[in-house]
Amino acid sequence: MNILVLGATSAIAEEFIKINSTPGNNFTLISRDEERLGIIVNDIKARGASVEESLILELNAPENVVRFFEKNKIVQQDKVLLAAGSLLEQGKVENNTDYLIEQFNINSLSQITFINELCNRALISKNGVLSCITSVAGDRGRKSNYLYGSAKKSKSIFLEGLAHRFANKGITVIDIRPGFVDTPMTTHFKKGLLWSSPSVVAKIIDKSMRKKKSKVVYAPTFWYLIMLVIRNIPRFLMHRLNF
Amino acid sequence: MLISGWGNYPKIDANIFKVATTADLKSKIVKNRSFITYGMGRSYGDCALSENIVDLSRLNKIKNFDENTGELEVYAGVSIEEILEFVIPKGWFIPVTPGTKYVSVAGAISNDVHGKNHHKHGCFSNYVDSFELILPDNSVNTCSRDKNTELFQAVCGGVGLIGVIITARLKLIPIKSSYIDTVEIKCRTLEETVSTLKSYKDSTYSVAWLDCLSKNKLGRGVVYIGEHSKGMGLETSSKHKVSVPQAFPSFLLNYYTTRLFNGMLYNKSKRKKTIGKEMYDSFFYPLDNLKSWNNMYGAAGFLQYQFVIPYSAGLEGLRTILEFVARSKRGSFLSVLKILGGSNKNLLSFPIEGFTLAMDFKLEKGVKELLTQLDKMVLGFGGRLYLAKDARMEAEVFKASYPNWKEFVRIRKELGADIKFNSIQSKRLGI
Ligand SMILES: Cc1cc2nc3c(=O)[nH]c(=O)nc-3n(C[C@H](O)[C@H](O)[C@H](O)COP(=O)(O)OP(=O)(O)OC[C@H]3O[C@@H](n4cnc5c(N)ncnc54)[C@H](O)[C@@H]3O)c2cc1C
Ligand SMILES: NC(=O)c1ccc[n+]([C@@H]2O[C@H](COP(=O)([O-])OP(=O)(O)OC[C@H]3O[C@@H](n4cnc5c(N)ncnc54)[C@H](OP(=O)(O)O)[C@@H]3O)[C@@H](O)[C@H]2O)c1
Repeated sequence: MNILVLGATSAIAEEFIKINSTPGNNFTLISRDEERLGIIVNDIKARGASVEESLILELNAPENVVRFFEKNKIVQQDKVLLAAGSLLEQGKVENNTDYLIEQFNINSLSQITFINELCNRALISKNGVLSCITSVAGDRGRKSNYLYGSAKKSKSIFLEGLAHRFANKGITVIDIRPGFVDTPMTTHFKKGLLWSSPSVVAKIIDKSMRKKKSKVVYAPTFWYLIMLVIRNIPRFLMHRLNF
Repeated sequence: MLISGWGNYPKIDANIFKVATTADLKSKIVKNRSFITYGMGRSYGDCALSENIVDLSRLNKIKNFDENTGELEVYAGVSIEEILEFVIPKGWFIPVTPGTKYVSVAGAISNDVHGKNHHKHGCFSNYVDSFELILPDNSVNTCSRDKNTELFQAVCGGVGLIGVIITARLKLIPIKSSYIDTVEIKCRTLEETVSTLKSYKDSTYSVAWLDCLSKNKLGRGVVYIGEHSKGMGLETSSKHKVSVPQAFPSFLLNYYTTRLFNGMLYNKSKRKKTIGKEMYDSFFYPLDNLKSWNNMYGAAGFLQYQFVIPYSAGLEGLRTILEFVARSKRGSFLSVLKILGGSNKNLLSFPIEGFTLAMDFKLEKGVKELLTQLDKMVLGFGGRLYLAKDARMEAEVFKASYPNWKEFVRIRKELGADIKFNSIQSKRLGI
């Protein structure tokens, strides 16, 4: 099976790769860090799977993605996981538009472009599965992270539309919405009960991709309930809350 | 961020840097004045703690494995758990393992850990063919018994104070089954426990649990013997673990409950000798089933006191220490006795030929004073304490019992490691 992972060096993606590093699977890995990719490639091979290619791509501008597809010949994939993301500083956005554009690109536009290129070039196999990590942050705008949230939400809508487009055509589209995950992205957060490990989230992603059903997957499931509540907090109340 | 070792003491506020590549690591070496590396934090005390911590847990990858020879090359942060899950189905096993599988390979090297088979197979370093080490000048050096021998012997057991290990080549042992054939022997007295352990010195694995509390049966215990089984499958276990919450009411763990627990453990089996078969997991890692059991001791944490005394001090040495502890009424929930084979050439490796006993003490008033008394006894018997467990030993005690410390310090100075790598422990011990 051919498996492509964008953001292969993300902690969640690495766990997903590990689960799938079994003989017969062939990976295409994309990230920014060559040395780290090399370490992951070794691990994959030691576990008996193979690596088609490991490639470098910076997502801060969507043109990079276009050029990437012109330059590299990607083989057709059975599974695709998009895991790249950047937990931006909302405070910095408010007076720095360049930063806003760059971060929106990384978290959304470049990734949407990436998916679009995959589809236009028919790089997802007929019964293939595409899954993309968005976030519960996209479920409701909050003052502390609404650029990150809106980037994630825009991806979610894109995925929803794509799932509609491919409905009954064989290709599965999954929107993964993790809650709090203990990864390098969140190193400086204080961890508590609601936190999951990257391996738990990766297992949920893996399971949902095997089921081949287009849907939104909260990871873990209890986030569905939490977000249900948060989505339904009336605006007047929300505006008094501080989170 | 607040961080501590397994004993939850000391708890310090440290800057933690997670590194995922050698390039990353090298830049941290340049940028930081001084730091210590952190594996999985399974050392009880402060050997992996300092104001700046470089966490290598993301280097948890396998580099290469030869299924025919059992030669395994891994990155520093890979855990014994991950190695076992990977190699057991292929018929291989880790030759030396501590009592938890949640330790990193670099952590195992840096404390030169021992298992239940030390009397037969020695320390972890015995099965390390070589490792790659980054020194303060950012050079990468391959170290083995033949190449950079001095570095090899300083790093194995060198508690992170010489350089940073990035990869290691290990030699595994073949197994036919992931089960262990076990023998459990109940012993009514300390003499009996010790002589039973000794009488099984040809068995691969042996360990004893000791009751350090019951007044007139002090030192009674259960001896566990094990051999790799020849039959049954090569499956790995993935049992669901139960977790002890951080806010566990630690008053539940007191002298009386501990005594009760010890009595229960002893009376678990009615028979004198029980023969059985156990999955490797429950034989080697019984405590791992209760995840974060360390929280049981409450927020103040606990100290593990592990010493070794030579055979010459013998039974009497053990008895003197046990009686002293029993009189203090400070119970050790679980006390583990093992026999250790000879020492090796590594400068700060803990084992010497003799008995090693590990006891846990909830941190409360008077405990440190008690342990200071024990230090004197252990030194008097010609013994020493294990750095992996230590959070309080004084420099004089360390220096009197680890004769190679001067050589270790010389090497550190020569490399500039005395400036770059420091832990709270190294400062306390004056090395
Ligand atoms: C339940 C339990 C049972 C145990 N049983 C045993 C036992 O039977 N026998 C035994 O010997 N020990 C035992 N231990 C102790 C444990 O094996 C050691 O403390 C081990 O070193 C922990 O490894 P770690 O990865 O957690 O390392 P840490 O505790 O994080 O670090 C240990 C040392 O290694 C150094 N280090 C870590 N990574 C590197 C690196 N990349 N390069 C250089 N230095 C590095 C650190 O600086 C530190 O000095 C036990 C511990 C527990 C919690
Ligand atoms: N952690 C959480 O709590 C949480 C919660 C909800 C959703 N998520 C989402 O989960 C996904 C995985 O994140 P993670 O938590 O596993 O974090 P992570 O380990 O920090 O991974 C982030 C990944 O994004 C890549 N990336 C960042 N900026 C990039 C850029 N400019 N160009 C290309 N790649 C870039 C990183 O590549 P490099 O290695 O090259 O930097 C890395 O692979 C992300 O989409 C994240 O938004 C995480």
